[in-house]
Amino acid sequence: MAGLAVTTALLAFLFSAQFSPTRSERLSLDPLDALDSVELRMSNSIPAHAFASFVGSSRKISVVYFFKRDLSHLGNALRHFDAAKREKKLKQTAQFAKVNCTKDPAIPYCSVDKSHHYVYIVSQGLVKDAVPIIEITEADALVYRIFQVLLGKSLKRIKTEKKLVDLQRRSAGHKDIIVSYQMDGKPFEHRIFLEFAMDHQKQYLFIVTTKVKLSRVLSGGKPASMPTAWYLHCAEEKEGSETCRNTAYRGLLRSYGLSNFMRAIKLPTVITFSDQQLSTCRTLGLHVIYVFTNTGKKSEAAEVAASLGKAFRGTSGVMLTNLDKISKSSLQALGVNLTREVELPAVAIQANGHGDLHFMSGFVPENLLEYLQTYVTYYEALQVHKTQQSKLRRTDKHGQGDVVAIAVNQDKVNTIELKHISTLTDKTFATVVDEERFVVVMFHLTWDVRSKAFMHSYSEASMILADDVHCNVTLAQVLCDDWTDVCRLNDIAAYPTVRVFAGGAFLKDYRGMLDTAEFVHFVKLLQIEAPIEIKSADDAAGFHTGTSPELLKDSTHTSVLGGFTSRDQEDFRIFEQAARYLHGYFTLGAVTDKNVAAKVCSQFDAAVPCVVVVKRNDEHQQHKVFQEDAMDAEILINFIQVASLPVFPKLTVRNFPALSRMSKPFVILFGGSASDLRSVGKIAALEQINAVFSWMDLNDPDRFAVELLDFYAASTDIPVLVMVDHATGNICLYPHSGNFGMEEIKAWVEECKGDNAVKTSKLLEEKWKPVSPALDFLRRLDAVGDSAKQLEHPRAPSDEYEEDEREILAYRTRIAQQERDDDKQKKKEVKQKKEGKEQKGHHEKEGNVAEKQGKDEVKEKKKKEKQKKKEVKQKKEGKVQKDHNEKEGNDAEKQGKDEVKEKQKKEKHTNIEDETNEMPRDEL
Amino acid sequence: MVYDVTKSVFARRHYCLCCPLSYLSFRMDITLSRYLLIITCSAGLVALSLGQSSMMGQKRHSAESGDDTAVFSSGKYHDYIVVGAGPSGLQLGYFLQRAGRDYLILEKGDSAGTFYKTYPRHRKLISINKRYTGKTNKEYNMRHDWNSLLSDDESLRMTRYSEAFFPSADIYVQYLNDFARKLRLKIQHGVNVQRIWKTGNKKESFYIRDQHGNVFTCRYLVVATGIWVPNEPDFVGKEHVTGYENMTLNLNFYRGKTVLILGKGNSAFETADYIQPVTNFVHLFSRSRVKLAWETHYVGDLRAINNGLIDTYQLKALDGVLYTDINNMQVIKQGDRFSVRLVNDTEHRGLHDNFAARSPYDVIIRALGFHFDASIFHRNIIPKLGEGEKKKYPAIKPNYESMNVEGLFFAGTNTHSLDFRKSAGGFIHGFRYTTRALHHLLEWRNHKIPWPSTALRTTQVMNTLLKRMNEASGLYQMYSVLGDIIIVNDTGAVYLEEVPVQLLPQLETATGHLAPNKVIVMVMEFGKNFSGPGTDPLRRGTATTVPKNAHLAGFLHPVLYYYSHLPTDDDMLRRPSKWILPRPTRLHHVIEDFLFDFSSPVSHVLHLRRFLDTVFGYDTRNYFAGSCFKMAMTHTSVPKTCQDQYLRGEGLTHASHCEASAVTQSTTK
Repeated sequence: MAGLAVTTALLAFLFSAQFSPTRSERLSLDPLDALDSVELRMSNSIPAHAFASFVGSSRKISVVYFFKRDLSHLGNALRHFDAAKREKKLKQTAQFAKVNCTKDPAIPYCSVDKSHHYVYIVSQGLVKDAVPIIEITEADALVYRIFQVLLGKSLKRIKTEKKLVDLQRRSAGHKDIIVSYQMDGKPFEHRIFLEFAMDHQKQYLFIVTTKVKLSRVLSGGKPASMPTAWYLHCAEEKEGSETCRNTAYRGLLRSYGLSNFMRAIKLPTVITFSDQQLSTCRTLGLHVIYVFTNTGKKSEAAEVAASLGKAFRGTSGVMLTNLDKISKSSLQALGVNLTREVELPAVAIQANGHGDLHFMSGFVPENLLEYLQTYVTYYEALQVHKTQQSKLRRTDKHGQGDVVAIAVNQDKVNTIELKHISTLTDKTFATVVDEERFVVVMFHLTWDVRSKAFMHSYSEASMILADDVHCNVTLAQVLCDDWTDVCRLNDIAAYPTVRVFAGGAFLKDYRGMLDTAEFVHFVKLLQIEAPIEIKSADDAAGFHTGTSPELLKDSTHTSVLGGFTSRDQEDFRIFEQAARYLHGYFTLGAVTDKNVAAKVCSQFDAAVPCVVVVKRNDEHQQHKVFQEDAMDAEILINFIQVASLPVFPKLTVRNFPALSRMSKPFVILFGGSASDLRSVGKIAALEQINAVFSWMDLNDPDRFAVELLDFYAASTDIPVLVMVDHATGNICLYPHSGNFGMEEIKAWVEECKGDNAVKTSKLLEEKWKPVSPALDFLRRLDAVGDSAKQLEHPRAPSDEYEEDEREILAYRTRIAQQERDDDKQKKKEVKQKKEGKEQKGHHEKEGNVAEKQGKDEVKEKKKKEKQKKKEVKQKKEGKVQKDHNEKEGNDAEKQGKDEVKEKQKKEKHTNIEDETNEMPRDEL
Repeated sequence: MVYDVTKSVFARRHYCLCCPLSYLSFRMDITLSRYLLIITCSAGLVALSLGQSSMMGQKRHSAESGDDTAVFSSGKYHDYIVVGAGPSGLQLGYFLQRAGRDYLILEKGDSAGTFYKTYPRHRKLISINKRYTGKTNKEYNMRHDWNSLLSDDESLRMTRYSEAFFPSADIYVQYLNDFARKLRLKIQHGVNVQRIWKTGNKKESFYIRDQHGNVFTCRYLVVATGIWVPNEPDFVGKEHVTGYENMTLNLNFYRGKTVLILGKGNSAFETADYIQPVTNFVHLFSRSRVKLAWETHYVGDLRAINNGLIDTYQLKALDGVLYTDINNMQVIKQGDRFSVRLVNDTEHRGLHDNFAARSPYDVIIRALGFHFDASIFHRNIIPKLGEGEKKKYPAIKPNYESMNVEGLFFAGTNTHSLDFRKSAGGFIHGFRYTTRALHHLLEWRNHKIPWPSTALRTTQVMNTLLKRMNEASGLYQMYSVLGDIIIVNDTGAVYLEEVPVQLLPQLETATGHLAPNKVIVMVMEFGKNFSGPGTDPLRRGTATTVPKNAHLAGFLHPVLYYYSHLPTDDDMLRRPSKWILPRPTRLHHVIEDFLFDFSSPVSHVLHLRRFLDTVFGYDTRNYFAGSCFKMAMTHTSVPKTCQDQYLRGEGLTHASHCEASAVTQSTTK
């Protein structure tokens, strides 16, 4: 049998060797050329009779592909198949085969429908996995599927949180788990992880999931954006516990990273300081947390270190450092610069084991944990930010991109839902505005990027408002590029303009952020009258607690309450005026009954008439009473706008404009714990320091806090208080970290305001000049000729006409001349052809104007060829004369070429100049 | 109330000094004594009119109009008199009416549009009546509606009167009369103006006498008579030639005849097309090359709708065009036929036996166009005429005022000397805009009402410019002549639409807007070397698509001139050859666009923004609120857009995905 097999194989070989060339020649006309060339390469590696024993192998698993003809674009997939075959890791454990069903249809799988759409992974005759051939976009896509089969039961693939909990419960107390999140389109990471699992399948339980929501569970809220892993410390948990503490893998999933990760996890939770251990931490890229102590406080320090060690296992090495045993100088030699005098015990962190030490304030384990975690998040966020920045700098080095234009114009994914927005025309505009109670119309232009960007929010808002039963408003749009007449009638001079009409008449323009939430609030608050009439003390209570009217509930945190003796009171008129002005942004409620007013005002320790701003979102200052002596609308409006701001808000993109309008320096707390926030908040609420107090959260996903803190103080302790004074440009750091006392802060703020302040840095000065030059058409015109130059003599009115006539005449003569030249040229050429070949050389020399030479090069090549032939002839004939001719011709040619080159150079030069004016492609 | 001047000089003087004011409108002949009379007359009236002007119903204008106007009879005096109720007269009437001015239009015919009752003789207008453009933008659609006049009444659009792409002139007459009637324009019909004169050295106050001897008086006179006097060159045998104006339209007359038409314009070719099917053949005489409108993009040149004869000429159908100077021609009657001879013929010297026009013609028609009727003016105020080919129009200043007669304004076809063969000012679709411009100029000049303007935030200048270049009809029709002017100031910009750009040096005095510093002018222009008779606009490579080569573009495209200070009159006179404006501080050509849509993000918007950035001197790019916040927290100041928008609380926080995608887009690239 074996002999027979060999002969068939030989025959097959002979067959292909003999006939394939002719076949392929014939097939090259075939449109299925590519397919057949794959087929040609498709040797049948397993003959039919050997197939059963091949796939039934007990030692190895088999990977088989059944080739049939009707699949196109197989080439790459098969190349990856072959690459997988060469994989070292699989040498011992897997065998590969391709079966050509067209040649050997006897093999059972060939008859299975669509079997050629898959690569089969077979173990002991059983199909374990079938990988769709289209998914094999690289070798790893196949390799990890093979690993998966090889790992068998030591690998779990899970989809639900329930399953995860279940597995943890079962492992608790005896085996640690390594979980990996994998995603489609990243087969390399998948393969890396499974390869790692292959090596360690005895020690751990390996879990793979592709569900983002599980990654969110494991990382405590934040979904993973790339493949990653977690180490679940289940062995140390009590048996039966449902979750194990975990340590997250950081960085890209790579094999060296994974082994470092394992080493880091294996490190003891608390390390006594030693040179060696420090360098281990450094090589593993761990943060180093130093717990400095002296011998006296050692036990206290060790306790704290132990708790920190557990919390930061795998990400940081916690070093218990007894300063009595190791001198500061030797520490310094190791790159630990303990320059500051600290009260022992103290905790500091050194990011990645390098650079400055960042001390944490206090020695309470919970606080320390929080601070350190904040710092680690801050630091890591900062690293991401920095790499992003450098990438940005590389791609958009001139910084010319109009980010809004880029975002809007490239946003092809998000469609704008116009279900609840009516598009008005010249005819419908008037009727809709007249007939509906409340109409909000957005006037905009289709190409305006701001309009387009806001349109998304507008559409979102329309959906929200349509769902709101209390809201009775019509949202509409007018496209000013279609209905320019409607926009002109409404005097639209800015785009987008969002205009509110009530009862057929213009009410006001929206002047808030172009943002969904804020716009929704605006529309809702517009529904409430301005001002609301409050008749009883109960009403007043409902109003200032924000429970009535209904629309007030989520729309605003502020209520403005006014108490007046009667409707005729002048102050009430002013209040009304302010209410109308602030309509949509603030709700004002007025009590005009003398008795009720007295009652209401007295609640806030004020006498009638009173105006009180009630802030439901400010825990430090719930209300503020208007105390100016003279009341006019402008002062009142201003008071309401300022008083409504919390005294110690979280500083955000949204509230910055309002806060900045106070023109005071900003004092910002970064990374404070809850108690820090409380204590600074209390100081802010006293309003004795002339500054805007606020705080920022270093854990915020928008990273503004991280970026700003990095800008203000690149290496700072956390928590920190920063003062930013826009008036002087000064930036100061509060020196007494952790001790937020009223007097200290006050003194520091005053000091920072001064000219010779102890400032850490300055705000940047920038003129915000145009980032890139415009196309300079004057220069271009000047380069062309003198047409852009002012005349030396003033022109007479009749000049122009004559100019024109002259131009026309000149043009016509030019054309005529050209035609004549062309004719001449043609005639010449004809003549040349007719004339004897000997003359050609001369002609070339004469007739070749440098410019034409370039074009004629092709012709000349042909001529050259001819000349070569001639040369051969000449040599044969022994004539020398023609050589001479030729040389001359060549010289002329060279000259011409040189000139062409020079021209090209020049062109290049101008091109380069042009390129400096050119924008990068992403600028819009 | 009409007094014969010749009857008694003494009596007149007497009246002047003591008669009630209403008696003081005279029928005046041009006599020497008139001067004496008027001087005395007005001198004596100064005292009277001060007290009595209100009595005469002139109160509204007494403050602005001095004292002597009040002497005119309320029936015959008007602040404005417009001569002619053609398209431009009606157009101006509409604007005057809307502004509440005291005006009267004088029309010689018994209804509006007298010219169009006769012309074009073959009754087909050659202005397009494009009813569909695929757009609802009314301003934009006016770009392709060449017949309608401007008004607020949407029923007054020619597109609603006729479905024909080239409507009948009869319908147009009806349209014009509907325009006058629906808008209640004040027209006095049957007033054939015989004489216009002025008294003394006064800048204003014109006297107008009609065929019945009625005298109208006005402060401001606008002549909107068009050009309607046929051109009749002087040559031997001109009596044998029939004019286009009175040729018969009866085709039987031309049946089997050989016809010669003198002229090469639309009327000549139109006539040729009309009679060509029944004639033996038609020859056309032209002094210079036939100018085809599609080669020159000048609508006054021969339009494709009329050029059938070129087709038959080139396809050997006997017809033909000959280049001949008509002034050298002699027409000799030989029996019933006419033969043509050339005198001083240098070209054919000695070779007369093959003269192209040697066969005699049965009919010779003259279709040499029209010229302005200057005969109605008294010899002291005969307006100067243009030079060269423009002599058929009065010579005027860029503000439509006569070169030599102060206070005499022109409207309509009359004003075409300003842009003859350059733009569309001689045609309805053009002069409806220049008439509006004239009205705005007069409003400022006479009533101190500044040119209408819009105040813009700096950040909105680009949007407004883009909007205008995409839709503005006045800029489009009156390319190179009317331009939008943006006066840049510290807080923003003032936007003036469709100002005659030749007025730029006098911008402040002409429009009433101060422009101490930066000024941007946006006009539409064709490429400077794009066209001309004999050029081939259909050749390959006419389109320019690369923004940096926008200045080479041949087709109509917006051009922005930026001046750091208003140019002077001298700058204007010394402007580069072929330029409409002096050399600017910076120049920007917006790349031409086949769809005439200038809102492509990179090719149009980006480069325009960069130009404006350099003009303003700062970055005007848009930022999301987040970026503004970051810049505000790290810098002492923020970019202009952040300052104008974000810091005022009007920042843009796009639905988060957008901002995120902006970041990822720029990071992944």
